[in-house]
Amino acid sequence: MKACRLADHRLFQVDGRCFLFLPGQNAIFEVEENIRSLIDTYSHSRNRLNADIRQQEEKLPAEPLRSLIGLRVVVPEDTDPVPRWNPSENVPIQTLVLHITHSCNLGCVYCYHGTREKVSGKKAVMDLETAFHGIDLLMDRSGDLDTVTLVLFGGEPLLRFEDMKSITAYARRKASERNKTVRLALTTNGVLLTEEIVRFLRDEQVSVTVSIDGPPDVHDRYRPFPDGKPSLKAVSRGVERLIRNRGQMPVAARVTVAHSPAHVTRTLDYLLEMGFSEVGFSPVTTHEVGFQLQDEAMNELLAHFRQISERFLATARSGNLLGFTNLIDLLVNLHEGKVKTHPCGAGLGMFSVGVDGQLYLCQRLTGSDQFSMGNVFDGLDSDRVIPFRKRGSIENRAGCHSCPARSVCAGGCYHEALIRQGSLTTPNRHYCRWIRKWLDIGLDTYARLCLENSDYLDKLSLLRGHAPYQAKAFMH
Amino acid sequence: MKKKGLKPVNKRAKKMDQEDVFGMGEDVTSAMPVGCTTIFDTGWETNPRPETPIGNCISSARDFTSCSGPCWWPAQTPDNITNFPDFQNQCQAIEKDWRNLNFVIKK
Repeated sequence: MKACRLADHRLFQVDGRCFLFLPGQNAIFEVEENIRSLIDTYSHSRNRLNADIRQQEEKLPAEPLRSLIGLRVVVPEDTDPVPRWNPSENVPIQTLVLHITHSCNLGCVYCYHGTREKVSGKKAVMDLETAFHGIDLLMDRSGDLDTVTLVLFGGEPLLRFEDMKSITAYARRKASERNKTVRLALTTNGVLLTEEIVRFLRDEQVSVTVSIDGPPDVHDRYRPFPDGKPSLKAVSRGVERLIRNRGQMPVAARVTVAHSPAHVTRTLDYLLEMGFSEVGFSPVTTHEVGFQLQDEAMNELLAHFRQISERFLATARSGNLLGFTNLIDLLVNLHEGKVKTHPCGAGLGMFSVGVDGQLYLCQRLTGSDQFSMGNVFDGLDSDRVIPFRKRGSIENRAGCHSCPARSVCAGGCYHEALIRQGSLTTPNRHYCRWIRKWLDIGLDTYARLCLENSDYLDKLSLLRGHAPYQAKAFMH
Repeated sequence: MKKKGLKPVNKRAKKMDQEDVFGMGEDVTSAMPVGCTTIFDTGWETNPRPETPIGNCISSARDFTSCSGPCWWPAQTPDNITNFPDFQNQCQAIEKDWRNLNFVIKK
């Protein structure tokens, strides 16, 4: 038998119980004391581990070593630390983001679409023919998928409400021709949410995400109208209408955290109070050093997240949900236990369409010609897509191979990496430590939920559209 | 708890538990055939020789030379009983000499 080693692992205690996390597998076990001490022994001495294996080679290894090998806690020396990406894999398109307009009725100070001057000279509106070609591409390339997602994005997509009706009608028709379901999603700043529009969104079951930054002192500082006037009042009116008419559809708030995270907990409460089902926070991605969150600010953000996670647990104990998107996503990620080959779906199952019909990796990289991946008229350019998929795989990010957070992070946002590290596929080193600490909070919360109310985790998974785990019968 | 002392918690862990590379959960072991099988499977007879793996039959010892990872389910290895009797001579101690094992070409 080959020489073996312990797979990289993390043992942690919750309420006197011991848990084992295998980063390479994204697997979580509860372990008893005998296993914990055995792992402890082997982690200090690889020789001892191999001696035990050799000694037991006379017959099948005895418990508990057999369990450790069977569950890949003990692995051959040359085991790959990360999954390999098969470049010939045919990935269906699942989500298409349509930039139906570049125009926007707000002038957010940190917007990654840049100032108007930068986009002027380029076409600012997607014509319907281009949008329809995009939908055709989504249907053609979605393979066997039953459900596809069309995201209406901008600029401010509601500036083109009339055309949005034609686009959704076309998408519904094309989907039903192929026996598929198309889910519609919209990201808006909320200013234009009139009664007519919110009725349409409800009837068409559009999932709406509102970009909103919090109470007036925060929101109006970063998300004013182009003339500098505050926008929160207008946004709140729209949001109030939307939430009153939402029907079954959840409405999510998306907060961009710039400069300082001091307001994060207050903002969560403010937005949940407004009636949002969930609130997610994301540090701003920008070249502007003044807006970036530096180390100290990131630590403060983590402190807020830790505190909110405690509240999440307390709320879970009473059987309710605290709509803190970041934690819900992390817990579902840990519960599902998928191992990421790429940080996100960009360039795999997701593409974005610019107003002129060019295809890009994602909404954030839309408009940068160097990241063009073809166009909706001629289809995906496989000479660009396939090398990108290969380059974007975690296999090629050696710096990530020993990271405990690799299966949930896989290097982080391409756009953020481009801005902060200079290349799409460089790991986002500036927040490695942060992600690991956030993973610790997630693991701790996960284990507590397991001990107290494991059904709750299944419910969270359902909320994100994952089916519950079903044991397969042994085939022997 | 199927594995002594390790309880799978998340979905991935449960899946791994089912895919245990030995392919033998406790509930399956009892259904294992007793005695040597009729085709090329590893048998369960006693190996009278003093080599590793002590207690297994010859074919099992042979499979040992081509095991992969912690799995010693039979793989295709040269037939060292009739056609390639010297195949294993280059491998006196499997623990350190396994790299010497090579493929063979039938003349």
